[in-house]
Amino acid sequence: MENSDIDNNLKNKIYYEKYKNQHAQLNAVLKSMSEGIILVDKNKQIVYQNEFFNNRLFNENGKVTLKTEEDLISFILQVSETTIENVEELFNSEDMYLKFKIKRGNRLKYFRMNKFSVRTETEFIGNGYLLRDITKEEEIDQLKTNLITIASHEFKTPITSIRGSVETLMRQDTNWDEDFKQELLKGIHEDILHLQDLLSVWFDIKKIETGTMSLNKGYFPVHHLISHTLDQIPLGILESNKIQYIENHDVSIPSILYGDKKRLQQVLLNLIMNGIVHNDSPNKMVEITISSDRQFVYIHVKDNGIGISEKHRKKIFDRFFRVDNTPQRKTGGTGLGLSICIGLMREHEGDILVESKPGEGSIFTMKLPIISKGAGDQYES
Amino acid sequence: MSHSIAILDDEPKIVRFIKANLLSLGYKVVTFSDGEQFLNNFDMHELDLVLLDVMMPNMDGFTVLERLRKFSNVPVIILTARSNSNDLIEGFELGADDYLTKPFSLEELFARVKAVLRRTAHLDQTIYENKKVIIGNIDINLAQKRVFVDEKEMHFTNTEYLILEQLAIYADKVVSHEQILVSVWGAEYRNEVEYLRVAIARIRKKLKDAGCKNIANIISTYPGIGYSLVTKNA
Repeated sequence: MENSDIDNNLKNKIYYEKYKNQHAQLNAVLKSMSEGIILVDKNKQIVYQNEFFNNRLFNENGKVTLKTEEDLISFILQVSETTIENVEELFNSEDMYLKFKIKRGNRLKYFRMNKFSVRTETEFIGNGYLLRDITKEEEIDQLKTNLITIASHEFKTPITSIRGSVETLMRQDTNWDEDFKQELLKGIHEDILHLQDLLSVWFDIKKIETGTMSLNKGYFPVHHLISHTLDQIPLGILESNKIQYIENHDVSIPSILYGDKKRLQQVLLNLIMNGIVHNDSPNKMVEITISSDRQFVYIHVKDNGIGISEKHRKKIFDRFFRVDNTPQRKTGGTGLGLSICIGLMREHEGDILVESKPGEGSIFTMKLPIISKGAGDQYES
Repeated sequence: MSHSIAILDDEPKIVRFIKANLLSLGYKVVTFSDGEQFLNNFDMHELDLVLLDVMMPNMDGFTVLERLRKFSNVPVIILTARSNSNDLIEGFELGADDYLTKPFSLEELFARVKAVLRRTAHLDQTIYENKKVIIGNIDINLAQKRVFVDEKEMHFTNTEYLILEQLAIYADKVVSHEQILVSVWGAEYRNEVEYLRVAIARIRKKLKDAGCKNIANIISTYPGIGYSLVTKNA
């Protein structure tokens, strides 16, 4: 053999290996992409489809073999809630996209399909379809829409009554009696306090979400946390319901806690009020008890309220989740209280635990790490 | 005679200031906080106007309106915190006469109340001597202020009747949006073409359901201009 032949053979072999490697790399990339990809040739035959297509789109619909672009169209129409016009628009034009949703059990999955054409400088080779699971984005959009709807009602109601009451007082053509004027002013005052509460709820959510919640931690006696929280409950509610703290004299329970006392009071108050509000019993009752283990202190808030079904238990800490989210629901609230509570407990490296039996009541437990007090640390009252 | 107005809202503070102000203007006022209770007691009051809140517990305002419209054409102003136009259209489609978006000013409240009551009063005052307009199986009796289809009487709300009346008075001529809006709703509504569009759709639907054929040609649309009641070739 001539030297140059050997040389050429070797070169070819190197090229071949290089090409094979590149091809394998490319295949691995396509295979592991977090998007689905389908390539269709000039004759509308499917020449490539990655695993995403099979796994994400098809798994619950059984294994489907798609051979042509036609198959793809009819498959999308079959599984999703979209119209033939939308699908045809995508397939008949260049560089379009289509959003569609697929029902998976109780959940809706959202997908976005983009079309792109594949060509060399001179020749049209075929089309590619890129499929992305946009369920997360859609759900965030949904949250934002909910936020606007809730803000609209929660904020507009007090503003309407403040505006109406103030304009009533401003009327110069009428003499209102003193009592009525006082009533209006009292109402305005209440509404302003309500708006302030709403605002602090929104700010808390924002702080927890962006990780900018700053805690003012210190040491304080357990019984202060409880008694100061009970002091914050409106008198009317305290008198008409049985809200009690049952002391535990077990010496192993730390009497001093470490954390942001105001914030922990906020959580405890929220849990107590939930026990009263979500409660249909004629004798509403909330019981507060304490227990501990080596690492954590547990503050239990037990009520005899409506309880929470298994199905809803995981979701109650989600923002805006309300078991009854219809405008006709009986109890108000922003659906933000518990999500702030759990956010605050997690900022404390703690948590909130839930046990519940529908119809019998729930126990919400604040779990707070025990951090023992050093010699130089000061109490906070 | 002073007009009677019902306020239906679950927010006591809102009810309180609306009630006090309407009383001070010489209206009679009854208040309700629950839709069911309002519907059950409706017959006990001779109401000239209802102010109806949308977001209420137990039964929302749209449901109340839908049920109310099965037996009464009393004028209704919707109070809503949602300024979303779909909500407004839903309200009009169910037969509301007007709406107020929360928060509203007292001035706005007074103006809308007066405008709606004036529209209703207008219905009793103008007299057309024995004038009848007949289009196919539709018989509009302007003197009696009644409409018949195949000799069966139709039920229109005051607003709907007044629109039809305007079109009938000027039958076979094009009546402009503005003219209808001003004469039916009042001068301050001259640009609210959407109100008119929804009301016309309701009138057409009622006539169609009663057995009128070709209704889009009888009440015909002149886009950007107005509407015309066509009596010929029907």
